[in-house]
Amino acid sequence: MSADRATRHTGLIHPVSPTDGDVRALVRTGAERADADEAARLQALHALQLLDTEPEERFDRITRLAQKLFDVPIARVDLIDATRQFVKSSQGLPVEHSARQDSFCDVTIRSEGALVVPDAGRDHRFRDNPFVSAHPNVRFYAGTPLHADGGHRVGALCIVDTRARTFDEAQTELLNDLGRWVEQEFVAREEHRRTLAMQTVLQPAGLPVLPGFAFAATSMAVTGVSGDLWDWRARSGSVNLMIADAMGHGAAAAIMATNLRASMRTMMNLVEAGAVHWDRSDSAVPGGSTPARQVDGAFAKVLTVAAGTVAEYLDRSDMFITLFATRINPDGTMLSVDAGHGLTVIVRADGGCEHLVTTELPIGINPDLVWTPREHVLHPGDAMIMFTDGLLDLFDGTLASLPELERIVRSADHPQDWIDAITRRVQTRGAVPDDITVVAVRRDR
Amino acid sequence: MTDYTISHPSPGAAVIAVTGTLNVVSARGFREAIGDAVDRAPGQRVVVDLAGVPTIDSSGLGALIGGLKAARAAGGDLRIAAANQQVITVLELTNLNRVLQPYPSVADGLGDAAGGPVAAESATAAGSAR
Repeated sequence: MSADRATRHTGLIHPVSPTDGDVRALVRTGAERADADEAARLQALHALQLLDTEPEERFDRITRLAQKLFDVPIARVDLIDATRQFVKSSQGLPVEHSARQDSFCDVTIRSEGALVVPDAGRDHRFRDNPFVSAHPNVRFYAGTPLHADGGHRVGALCIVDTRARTFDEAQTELLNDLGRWVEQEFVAREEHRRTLAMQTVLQPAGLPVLPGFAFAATSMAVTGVSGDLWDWRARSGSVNLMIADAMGHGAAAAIMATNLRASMRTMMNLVEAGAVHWDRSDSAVPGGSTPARQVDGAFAKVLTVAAGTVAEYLDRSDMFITLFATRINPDGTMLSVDAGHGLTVIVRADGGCEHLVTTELPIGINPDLVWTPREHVLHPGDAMIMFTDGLLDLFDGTLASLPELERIVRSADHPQDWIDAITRRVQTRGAVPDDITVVAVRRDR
Repeated sequence: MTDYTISHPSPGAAVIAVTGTLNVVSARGFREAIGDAVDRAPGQRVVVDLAGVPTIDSSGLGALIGGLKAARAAGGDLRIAAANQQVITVLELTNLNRVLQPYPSVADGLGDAAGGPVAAESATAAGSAR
């Protein structure tokens, strides 16, 4: 807050003596209230982020329908800004924004309910309006106010004719209904944007860092909101990496994926903090009892506990999640658990290509499941790609396309190049067929 | 449009014949159809006839698994029959054929032995099948 604003703010809340003059100062005049309402209205309008945007099909289909339904030459969605009318959708007239003072819709938004002007030429409010006296020579106008979140009237859906008309109550109701549809588009868009923003916040911040290894990752979603997730945690010199795919896509899948992410993160943090100990009677992890192996052993428990945490929700929603989680140590050794995911490929520097298959079930099938960790080693020059099944849809949709993936890996050295090649494929295709997440790692030395 | 026909070929058994794709759109209705069958006669064996299902996605799989859980919770069972290769491949991708073994025909699904599931060993061979 600037010093200036702070001073003014302090001035506002400074205690006043209740003399006549001060009391009068505390009561807002009608004009002041109108100003405040208008400021709030403009804020609501601007928050929609529709001003100065291109026409959109989702609004155009409503104005097209209104045009046909009411058999009028002109139908529009107009938004009323401080001094101008912004045309978001227009049928029958080119999109030309105009001054607010000449706007019929500005009159519409001044009160609740539709405004019907049967003959503007005989209406003293509009007789001298430039759109009446000149092109397009408006005679009939009907508009229904459009409300933003919070109830502010930010614009109107209107129909216009160049001849005088009557408009009965049933027709007015129909126009109001179409207006509610436009408002739904406002809300749906707003909701979607907030969801997207929140998911972006929950994305991993940056790529894992492990000396001698290079990482790259990408995530693309059908609806913008992904049911895939990937995440990493790095401490004590190793990287814990996971990729998961919640059944379905869109917001429902994303909510469940987020749930799992939180549980996995909590468990990984507890492991790194040494709060989860490996009971050596767990036969899960072979090898010695060095501190590093103990962390490995604890990591193997991560999935079981995290899965148990979300199992109840998965059960109630008939959903399941496939997941691959791995702990990569600086010496290239890896310990991995795979819950029905099975979409990890190691491309060996010496020419081999291994698909890390799993016979274990996804999370959410059986609450008592325990997953068995497996060991692998990344040698210098080896690459590993973890992905979700949406990636297969970029090829032939089956595991027969794995050699294509191997070719991409062998065509360049850095994981980012592989991710770029995959992104180009999506762009060529024009649309994301299913949520796609790819995490790639290469051991350099 | 995906349709469901429920029949009762023998006491203690229900067959749900599905026609159409099982995906994010039809999954809910399909899951309700299974739920109805389970509620109407708890403890019975429900066989889902997938002969008329060209494709299934993960949401469809979720409905099948949810139905399986509901059937087992009610003391019964749920089996799938006559699935095409695409459906079986989707099951195998996630190893869900281990809990939802595909039977070659509705008659096999209704029977107790009758040769067992299509791929009795698929639970252990799921990896190599991929």
